[in-house]
Amino acid sequence: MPSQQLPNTIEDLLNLVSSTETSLDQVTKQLLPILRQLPNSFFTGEHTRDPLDLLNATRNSLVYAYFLDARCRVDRPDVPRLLGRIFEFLDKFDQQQMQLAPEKCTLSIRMVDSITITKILKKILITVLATVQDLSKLATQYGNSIIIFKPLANTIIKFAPSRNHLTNLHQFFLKECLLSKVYTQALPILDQDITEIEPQLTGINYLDHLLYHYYGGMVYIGLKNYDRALYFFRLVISAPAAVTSAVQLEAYKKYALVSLYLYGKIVSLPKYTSGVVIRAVKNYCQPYQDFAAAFESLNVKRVRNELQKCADVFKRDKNLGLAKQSMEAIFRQKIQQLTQTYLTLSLADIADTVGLEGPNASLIAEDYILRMIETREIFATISHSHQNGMVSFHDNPDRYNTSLTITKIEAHIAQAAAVNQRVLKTDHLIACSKEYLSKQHLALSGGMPGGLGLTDEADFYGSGNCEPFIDEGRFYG
Amino acid sequence: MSINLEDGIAANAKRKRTLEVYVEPPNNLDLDTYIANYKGHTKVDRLLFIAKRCPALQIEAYKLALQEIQTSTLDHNKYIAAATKLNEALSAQGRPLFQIDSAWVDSTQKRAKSTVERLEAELKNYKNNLIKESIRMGHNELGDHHYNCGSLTNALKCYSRTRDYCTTAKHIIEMCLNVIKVSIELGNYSHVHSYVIKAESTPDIPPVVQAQLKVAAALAHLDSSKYKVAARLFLETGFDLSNNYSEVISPNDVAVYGGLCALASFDRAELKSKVIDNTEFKQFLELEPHIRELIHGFYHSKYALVLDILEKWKNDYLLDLHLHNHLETLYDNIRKKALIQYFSPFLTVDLNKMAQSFCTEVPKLERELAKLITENQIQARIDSHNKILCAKQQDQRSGIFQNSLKMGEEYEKNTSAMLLRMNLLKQNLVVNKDSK
Repeated sequence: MPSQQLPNTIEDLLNLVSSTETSLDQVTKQLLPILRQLPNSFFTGEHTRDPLDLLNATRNSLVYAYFLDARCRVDRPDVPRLLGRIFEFLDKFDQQQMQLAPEKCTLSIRMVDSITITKILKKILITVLATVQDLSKLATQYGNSIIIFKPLANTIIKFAPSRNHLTNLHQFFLKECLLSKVYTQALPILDQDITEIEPQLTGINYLDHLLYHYYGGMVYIGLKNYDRALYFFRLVISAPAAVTSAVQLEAYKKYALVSLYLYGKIVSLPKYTSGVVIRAVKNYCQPYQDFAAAFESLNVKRVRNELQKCADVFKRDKNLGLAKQSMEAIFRQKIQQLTQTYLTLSLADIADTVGLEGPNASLIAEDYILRMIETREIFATISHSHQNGMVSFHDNPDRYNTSLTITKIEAHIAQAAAVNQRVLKTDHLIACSKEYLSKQHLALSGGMPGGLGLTDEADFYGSGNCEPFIDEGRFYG
Repeated sequence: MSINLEDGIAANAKRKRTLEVYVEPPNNLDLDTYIANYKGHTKVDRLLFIAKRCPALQIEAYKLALQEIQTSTLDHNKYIAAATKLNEALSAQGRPLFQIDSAWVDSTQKRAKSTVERLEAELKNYKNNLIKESIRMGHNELGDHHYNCGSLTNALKCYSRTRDYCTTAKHIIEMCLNVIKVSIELGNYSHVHSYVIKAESTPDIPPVVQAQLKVAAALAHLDSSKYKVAARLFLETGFDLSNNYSEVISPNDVAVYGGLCALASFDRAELKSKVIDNTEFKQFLELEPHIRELIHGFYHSKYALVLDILEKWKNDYLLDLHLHNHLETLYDNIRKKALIQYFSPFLTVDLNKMAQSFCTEVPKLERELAKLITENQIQARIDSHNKILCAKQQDQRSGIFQNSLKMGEEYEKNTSAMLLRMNLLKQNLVVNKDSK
């Protein structure tokens, strides 16, 4: 067979490529095995014309990727030119070819050798990742790392089977965003909740999931979207685990501080959080829990002391800034509490109750209140006609009777419906799954007394998705 | 007062602290009449407790205690301990020391020892003869003796052993009562609970015993700070108790404990139906007229009177063996309830007037109210500028909108998280050591 011979020159390879059909199974069957055997130096060899000019990024994505990868690895790459190439590639590449999605493959291939496909697939996934990694390295050398983010984001969107899929590119992308501090660029990706996990398609392992959500949480902290950051960290901590990952511990530390910032206490973790993680957290995150305990007492002095005590640990974990921010949150929370208790209160009294000290306490208090009014955390007016300044707290003026409310609610309903769709889909998949059916069958025909099947089923729903359904009813009702 | 009122610390923390507390001489306590209500161990214990906590009554209390120990028990250890304490107190005041009756100590020591030997020999004999009733009696006698000598754990063991030899309901009740008595003295209230239940399940309990069991259970609940249950049990106690349980509690105590617990935990309707209209409990209240006055005052919203009575009797109750730990919490609760009840019929209240009826100053009252509001016990807000307390206007519609929006968001988040988790599990992407 001709495909068994390795091409000697680039010329040969190009001929081979052009003679091979671009259909997926041909590429997989013929090209890939050859490409995998060629050394890196082969692709950087001399040739009269740039082979990349001769190749089509869409039709010959696979070969193209090999060339790019090899070029990125030479000592002194021609950065500007190469960047252009890579962008072009990322823009045009054929995700089917790069992904070799099983459902797109012809039946014959799948039947022949599904194991090799998986292997090939992995190789390809790694190739894309490598290309992307090379890209960022190049961009850094070029002194302009920001240019890569748009193309990268597009690549991810193109590469993932759906926007709810996690790929191995995700966490890498976020890490780059964090390193270059371009948080907003990550948002189009981050704002999509990840719910689909298919390692066969996307080549991920558990670490990708942990790191993606951990980095995501950090990005959201950078954007001051603490609510979502908390959600991301919670996903990391509550990930199924047989042992505890260091990522989970770090996530817990940030989770604790963000949670304090938002709610003044550590919000309890989901019930399904693995026991190992909870134990590890107790062992390794003690300073954070002490800090939280001090925080919950709402005693400013105690929190300050505790912060001083833990400052070294926080600094080492690079969480000191976050801890200081939550320290400020304590004042805001106390002021918030005052709005529930008082109708009017003088600035001096507020400073006193909240625990602000120093000669400028009232001024600082006023500053806090002004900022809180601005962010609509509280509704109040400050009057300086009295000697000390009197603050009147109001109720939320939003009576929920405007079109704004309706728009908001409709948006939420649409989102909830979308989530619900996914739940239904999952439910359907489970109902069709072999395991479920065989269990059902067993319960019905096995003649087991006491309705074992029924109890099993209830159990099954309880752990899966029964709860959301109940909620759903309430939501629409 | 040496107790810091401001700190609202949990009952348990308080318990540790109050052990060190010294109480100033009480206003109403007459030691002789008070202690005449009791007999046996509780008399000694109460005297020693007062002596320890109230320097003013120390010497008198120690003397009475010593007298009681000598006449009615064989507890020479306690005698010596009390005598040493008394002498410390006396020497501190530069008064002549108390002569320890060493002849009594020696003879009691010997007598106690020989009695133990005799009883144990007898018991052995009974056991050999396998006569159930005699064995039970033997255990009981030995238990009684140990109890008399003050070795409570041994007494408890002996009493519990009679359990296997009880043949009639009467025996069971006797065993339970014995165990309860010793357990209360040991402070082992979980034991009290279980034995009360055991005793109550036997048929034909005489009313006196019934009352005794109720009181014992009530004490146990009081100890674990379950004031509402305790109050209910005290209120259900029949007056048949009278002086039949004075080795544990006097009927006066039932009135005081029951009254305070009820005030601290019942709402107004319950107070009326369960306390004021309770004929049985009225008889108890006759013994302690100020408690009756207190309850009526509270019910008729005369808060100044209530607070006045409470303040007057505070020191007395701080010297009570069972009540002292809980007094602060009970008083706090009563005050809080009074504040809540005062405000309940109004939309707005002038803080100045309110402060007057509670005999306090406006800033202090403001702080108290703020605390109640944060605890969500009063639905109101304070207008600190005009010194007015205003009831909160609840806008249910807005509340529902707020809640439903929040719920919707929660639902989305939780569902997404759950889907992700399911898929992770399905693909076996579990954090693991080697499966990278």
